[in-house]
Amino acid sequence: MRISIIRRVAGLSALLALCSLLASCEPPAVYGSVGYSSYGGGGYYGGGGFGTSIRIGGRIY
Amino acid sequence: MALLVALLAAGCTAITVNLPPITETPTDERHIGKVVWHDLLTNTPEASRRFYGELFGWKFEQPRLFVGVGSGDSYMLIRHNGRLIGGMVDTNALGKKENISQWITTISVADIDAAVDRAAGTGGKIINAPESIGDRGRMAVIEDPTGALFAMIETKAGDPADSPPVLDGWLWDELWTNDVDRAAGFYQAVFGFQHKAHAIENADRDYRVLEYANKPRAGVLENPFEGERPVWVNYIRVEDPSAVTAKVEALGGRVLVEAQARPIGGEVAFIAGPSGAGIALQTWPLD
Repeated sequence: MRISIIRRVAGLSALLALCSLLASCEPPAVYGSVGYSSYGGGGYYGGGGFGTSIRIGGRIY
Repeated sequence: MALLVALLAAGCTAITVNLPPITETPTDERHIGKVVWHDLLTNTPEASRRFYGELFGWKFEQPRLFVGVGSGDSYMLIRHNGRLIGGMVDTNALGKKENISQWITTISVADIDAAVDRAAGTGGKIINAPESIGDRGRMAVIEDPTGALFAMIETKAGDPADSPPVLDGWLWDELWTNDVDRAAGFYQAVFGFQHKAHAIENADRDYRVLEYANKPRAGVLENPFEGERPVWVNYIRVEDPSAVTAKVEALGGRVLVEAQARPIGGEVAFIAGPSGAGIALQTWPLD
């Protein structure tokens, strides 16, 4: 009886220790801290297209 | 009990990301300052997949992402003509309520810890410190001092060799910023770029090219969209920008700048995919 209780307590302790370790296992999402879209300001696509009034760049050589 | 412990242990293993290398055969080459990867962050992965697949013929596939517990469905690899050209991240899996959709430009470095230190020391903001992503290497996400997001990577198996741009593949990368001098100085300090100003005939502004070891790697341009957040813009080489833009809206995207002739030659256009992430189109070569 006593051995059984000791086993259960030891098992529970081990489980708690494991859970504690797992709590520090954060998903390693490299983009998880990105908080905004570079295109979210509205000007890039708010209010329709821009036709050819905006001149963009591009490779030159 | 044993089963529970095993499941918990498996859970921890499951979040160990192991992304495949960006080159399928090790190159052991290092091209500092080269844009070696592009990841699309999107909150509409299925629509984005269809959009880019229909426009450019890109294929999407699920990698074996998590060590030990099968595949994840939050990241997909993108292939063009059989070659790996980028990735797609489902931002819904990141638990984001806001739309953070955008293309992330990833630049090669030799020592990511040192590069991040230089970025922090010259006004950059560290959005995500260097982190191992398995066989791909170590990666960090940075906001430059003018506000544009980009990533840097120290690859484990080497960088892809330089090769001529193919149709419907990456052609060029360009920073649109509201402070060209400050931005150019930052990228020079972090990557060791030389930056050269080029006067564009019949244009009212200069064009700055970032070079490393005499190789042009990216451009810097005063933001064409006045007052908007600085952004890295990625160009796809296309044969006919007008033919591409004609399909965009039917695929759930938007045409932001219609196809236009460039003073230096060729045509460009600027579009957004279904999630709002922008991408530019350009003919190449110039004539």
